[in-house]
Amino acid sequence: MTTSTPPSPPFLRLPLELQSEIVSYLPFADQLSISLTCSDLSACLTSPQNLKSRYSSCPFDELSFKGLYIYPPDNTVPGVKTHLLLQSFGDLNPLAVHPELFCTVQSGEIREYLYLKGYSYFEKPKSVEGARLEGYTWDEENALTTDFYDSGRFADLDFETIWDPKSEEPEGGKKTRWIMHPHPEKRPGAVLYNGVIDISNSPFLDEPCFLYATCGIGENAKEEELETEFVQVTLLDEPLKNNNSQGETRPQYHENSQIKSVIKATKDLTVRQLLERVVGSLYEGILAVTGPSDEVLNMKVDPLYYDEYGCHWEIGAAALKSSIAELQDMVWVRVCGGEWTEYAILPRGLVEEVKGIYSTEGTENPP
Amino acid sequence: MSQIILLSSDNVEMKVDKEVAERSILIKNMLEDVGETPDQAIPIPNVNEGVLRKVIEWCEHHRNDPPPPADEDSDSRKKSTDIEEWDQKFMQVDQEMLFEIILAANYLDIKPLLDVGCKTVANMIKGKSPEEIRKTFNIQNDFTPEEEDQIRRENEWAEE
Repeated sequence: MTTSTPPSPPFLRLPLELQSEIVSYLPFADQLSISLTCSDLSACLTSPQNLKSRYSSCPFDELSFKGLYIYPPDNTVPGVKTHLLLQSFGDLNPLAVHPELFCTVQSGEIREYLYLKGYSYFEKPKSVEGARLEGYTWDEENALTTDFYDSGRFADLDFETIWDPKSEEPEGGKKTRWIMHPHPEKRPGAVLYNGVIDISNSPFLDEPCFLYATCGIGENAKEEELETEFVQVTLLDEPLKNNNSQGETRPQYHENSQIKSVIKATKDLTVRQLLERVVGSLYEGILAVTGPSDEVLNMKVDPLYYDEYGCHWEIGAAALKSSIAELQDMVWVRVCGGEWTEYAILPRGLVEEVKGIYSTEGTENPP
Repeated sequence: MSQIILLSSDNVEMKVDKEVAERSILIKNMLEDVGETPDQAIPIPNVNEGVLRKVIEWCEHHRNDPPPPADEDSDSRKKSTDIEEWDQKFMQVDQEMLFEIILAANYLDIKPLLDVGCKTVANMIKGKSPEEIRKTFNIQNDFTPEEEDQIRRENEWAEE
């Protein structure tokens, strides 16, 4: 009897030049994500030669590539470099471009930046003045009426975003002005947070929502992994019903002016309801939340599925929104699912609310 | 209108308008070299009947399309993944057929069809994580832990 080798997947049967042809149609970030993990990506991006050798067709000629430096110098997390990453998610359409802007922070000042122009919504930063970095972003495909990029905090860094609907409009798009500057009250420390809040159109909502991205480090510090998760945060009109099936859930949302009442209502919710109020993403659930004081909060959240956009977990939207808006303290959160464990940072207020309801057990030190 | 006969790899003959067949640059050049419309079937050894019929269907529909610019620089232009509605429906086939069409378009040198095929696959990739991409295309992660470690080591300098 002979055994036959199963045929290779059709994609792999394409010759390399055709695979490359397909990849050439992808946005830059998607090209990168095909073969690079997030940590590889961040490492790769520090060297134009390194990147160009892998992606010869990438439009790097106009880049002002700069290295990413470790900050703060006395970072207590071994091997973890501090950098700042802005990602534009455009209209959150899965087909959207994911341009990136890396900034280097030293001694509380933005020293240098790295700008990836290819297929980018970001314009080159207008100015770099000491601790301020200022620029515009714009959407070339959809006129953004509520485009808003915010947050991202590294140690004592903080930045604000100003949406300027009256700003000059480039070809077909609307500009959003953003400014980053160090937060005067934030103490330097090993705070790893890396993200962007994006009020924009979502693939499953007709109206604006938030996108919250966190960056944590792997459980094994030796691996020095930087991983990014993206959490869709939606302002809800009312608690979502528990929906862990493939059913379609289209949460309501509030205008910004109504957020306050949502926060108030949130306090009356159970943790489960609270958790269901912010859309999380991608993983099976949250098994534990670790605060800075060694508390471990056990919880499990069923994933929610939104059409074909992947599964989501939810954590108090209003609380998250509130904390982010005021750039309140963030605390470490250990997120577990299946074979992976990683840390993210969530607003203290959210964790405090959760702690108040869930019993604590065990001890887990934050990284 | 003159017609020619194409012979698929599984020996099925198909009569096609010459104008339609000439959407393939390979066939067009071949016919120009011959200098006259051949009586015998033109073998297309790399394309089976099913795929060839699909390719001909596409060529029939696009028979009047203007030829693509010869000097188009695929690297420098900003590529769009927009696909015409008819082409989108045309490409609603299983993956096996989709990639066979791409291979056939490449072999027959039908650039616009190749573009549509590549765009279709690119749209299947966009926005997906590596793991999702692997799942979509049934690709196994062939990196060993050692290889992943190696990649990390190669980039270690960046962490310094």
